[in-house]
Order: sequence, then C-alpha cells, then structure tokens
Amino acid sequence: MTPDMIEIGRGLCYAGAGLAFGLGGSGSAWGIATASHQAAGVMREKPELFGRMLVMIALPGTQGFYGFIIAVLMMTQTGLIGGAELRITPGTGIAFFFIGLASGLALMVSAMKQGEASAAGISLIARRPEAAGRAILFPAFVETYAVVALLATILFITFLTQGVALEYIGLS
Amino acid sequence: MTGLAVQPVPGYVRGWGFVCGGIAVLEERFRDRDFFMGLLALEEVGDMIPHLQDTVLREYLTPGAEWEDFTEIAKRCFYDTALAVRSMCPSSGPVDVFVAPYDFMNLKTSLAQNTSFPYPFVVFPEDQLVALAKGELPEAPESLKEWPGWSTSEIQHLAPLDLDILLDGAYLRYLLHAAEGIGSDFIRACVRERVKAKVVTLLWRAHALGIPLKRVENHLQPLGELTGLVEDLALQSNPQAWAALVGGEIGDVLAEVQEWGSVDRVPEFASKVDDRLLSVAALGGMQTSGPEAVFSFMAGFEHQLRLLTLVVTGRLGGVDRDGLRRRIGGAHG
Repeated sequence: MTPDMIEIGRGLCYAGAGLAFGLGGSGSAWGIATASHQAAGVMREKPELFGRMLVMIALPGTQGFYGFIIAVLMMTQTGLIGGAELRITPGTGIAFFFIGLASGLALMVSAMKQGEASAAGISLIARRPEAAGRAILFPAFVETYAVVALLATILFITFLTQGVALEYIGLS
Repeated sequence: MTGLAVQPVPGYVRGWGFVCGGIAVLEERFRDRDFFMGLLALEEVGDMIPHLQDTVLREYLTPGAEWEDFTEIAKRCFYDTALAVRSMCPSSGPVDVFVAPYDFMNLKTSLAQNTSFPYPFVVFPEDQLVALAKGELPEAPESLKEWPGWSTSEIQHLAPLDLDILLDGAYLRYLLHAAEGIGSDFIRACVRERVKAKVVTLLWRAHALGIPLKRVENHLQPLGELTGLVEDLALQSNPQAWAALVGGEIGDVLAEVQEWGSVDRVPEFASKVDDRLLSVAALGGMQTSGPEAVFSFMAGFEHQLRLLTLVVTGRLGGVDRDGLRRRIGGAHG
C-alpha cells in the first residue's frame, strides 16, 4: 500500500474519532444545560432537593465520555496512538469515518433527549419529592441507547481491526 | 376530551426551563376539590388556619394575619407569584394574560381622571396611566384605540355603562393580541375560547338587565375573528338560540345551563365554563418546559386563589356551606 493510501485512511480515521467525540460531547453539554435550567428553577424554591436532582443533571454527561472512549479506541486499535505500525487502509478509514459519525449522532441525540427526560423527571421530583427513585428511570431508559451505540461501535472497531482481516490484506 | 382543536405538544421549549422548574415546585401546593370540601366540613372557621398552610398561601398566613384581610392576602400572593414567574419567563405573555384584568381596572381608574390606582402596574406603566388621567388621550393603550369611535373622541362623552363595555372590549382585544404574540397555537386557542366565553357572558348579562344588545355590540367591537359571532349574537335577541351560534364546547355548556330553567343562569354559566376552560388549560402542563406550561400554571394558580377566597371569605361572611359546596361544585384543583 502506498503512503498516500495510508494517509487517506489515517485522515478518515481521525475524522471519525473526532465526530464521535465532538458530537457526543456537544450533546452532553446541551443535555446537561437543559436539565440544569430546570433544576435551577426548582432550587430557587426548594434548595433541599439538590441532592435528589444531582444524578438527573449528571446523566446526560455520560455520552461525552462514551464518545471519548470511542475516539481513543479507534486510534489505539489502528495504531494511531501507541502503535508500532499503522494498520489502516482507505476502506478501514471510510468505515471508521461513518462509524464515528453514526455513533456520534446516536450519542448526541440521546444526550439531548436525555436532558429533556431529566428535566421532566426534575419537575416530577419538584411536585412529588418521594417519586425521585422512579423519576430517574425515565432518563435512564434513554441511556440504554447510548450504551447500545457504544457497544456496537466497540464491536465494529474490534472486527475491523482483527488479525485475520488485516493478515488478508497484508497489514499484519 | 377538551373540544379544543389544538392540543399542546408535549416536549421541551428551550429558554423556559428555569421558570418551569420553579412553577413545578409551586404546583405541589395546588389542592384538589376534596381539600376544599374538607375545609367546608370544618365546624369552626378558625380550624381552617392550619389547613391553609398546605396551600399556595403558605407564606402569607402568618400567625398575626387578620382574617378580615384575607382578600388582601390573596391579592398580595397573586401579585408576588405572578410577578416572580413573569420575571423568569423569556416572554411575559403567558403571565400578562392573567394579570391584565387588574391593569384594566387601573385603566378604568385612569379614564375616570383618578390617580389612586388599586393594583400594581404590570401591563400598563404608571406614567402612561397618569398621563391618561390628565387627559392625554394619545397615551391610551392600543387595544382601546382600536375602538372605531376613538378617533372622534367620542370617549369623552360616553355614559359610564358604555365606558365599561368599551373597557371590556379593549381587555378582550388585549387578550387576543397577547395570545397572538406568544406564538403558541395552544395558548391562542385557549385564549380565543376564554374571550368567546366572556363575550357570551357579557351579552347574556346585558340581555338579563334589559340593555339593548346592539349597544353592547357597538362598544365591544372589533374582536378579530370573533367579530362575526358578536354581530350574530346581538342580532338574535333570544339567548335560547345562542348555543347553536356559539358552537363548540362553550355552546354545549350554554345549552346545558339553559336547559336548567328560564331564570337568570349567567353566574352558573360563567362558573361552569370557567371549569371547562381550566380543564383545557391544564393540558398545557404536558409541556416539560414552554409557554404552555406557564399558561397552565397561571390558570391553575388563579383558580386555586379564587377557590380559597370563596371558601374562606364565604365562611367568614356566614354564607351557607351547602351554597359554597355548590359553588365549588365541579371545580377541581
């Protein structure tokens, strides 16, 4: 494989990692802001509810971490970080670009919607503080799909960079 | 169902989160019909005090508060809460719709060339009302100037009754404009129904008092898309025929109340239609965050204070408890 081809694959891989991390982080920031606004309004009247609302505010933040994990995994598995040799073809790069885009979108939308679900849960806690345990379930269900996106992405990255496939194209 | 063509969309409108978090806490203090029935069941009026601590008036019922001041306490609670909510809203429209009646009382005072205003200044600033009281008619609110007779300065020669009707019309126009400005189809539809109910109440009351409906129509108009309805109702001198003209849920309530008998049923209609409109407004609570949620809260808050005032002042005034129970009737918290 020529250096140019490796360079294309490398660039696409970086782009995919950036999308996963950037979109996930943006969604988390948006979701936390949404939940925080609602929680701040509740705290204006009932500051003692802060403890019960804290988890709801923090929940949309997980997607940002998932995006970060995906980005690091993409780069370590392809040798972009800590690898002795680069194991990237243009095809792998294209695949990683779209995996990063898809997982980033899933993380971003789930974080934004989780922020809204958290805001609804916070309103429920404000009206009925005793329902705090059940209120946390609503945003937790949204989290499920962020976790599924993370797992699917890890599987794709692992399969794309597994030994047999790379041996076949002469990269391992 | 509500009978309203437009339903609120459950969801989240950015920018309204802070105020909606705050009102969620305040809504915890709303009490249902059973609570008010329980208040009426108490033998001693003084026994109500501890129970009132569980209501929206919690912070206002200090041990030293005089019972005779209850209406004043309720008024202070309404304004404190409304102004606090208004200050947190990205746009004041959903609160202004509920505060406006009191501002129009100030406006009426102003038109009587009096500057002792009974209510705080929210919708109309004090400067504007003082200027109007001094005879500077160009300072009048736009909703008042929309009356066709305004340009001829006819207002200076109006009879007190006509001035009252004119102010009612200006108030209803203000509501329609304010709802339009909020940009929510649900609130627009709710306010339109409120205005429609007020129009029917006004005309029916005028008919009961023997006031010519054409005279009312002349001073009430224009009312936007409801202008045609007002004309039709004013032309039809028999209120028994109004239900079909009004149509929708308000028409149904009108027909139902009219079936009860031929005596004056305007208070029953007003009370029943208020309950229906409250039920519709309550749907706005489906919004986690948004103007609909604030509108819904204000409707519920206003209703809670109305019920509390009815029960407490009614019992202080020695009003028959069965009569109060009937007044609370189908109302819900």
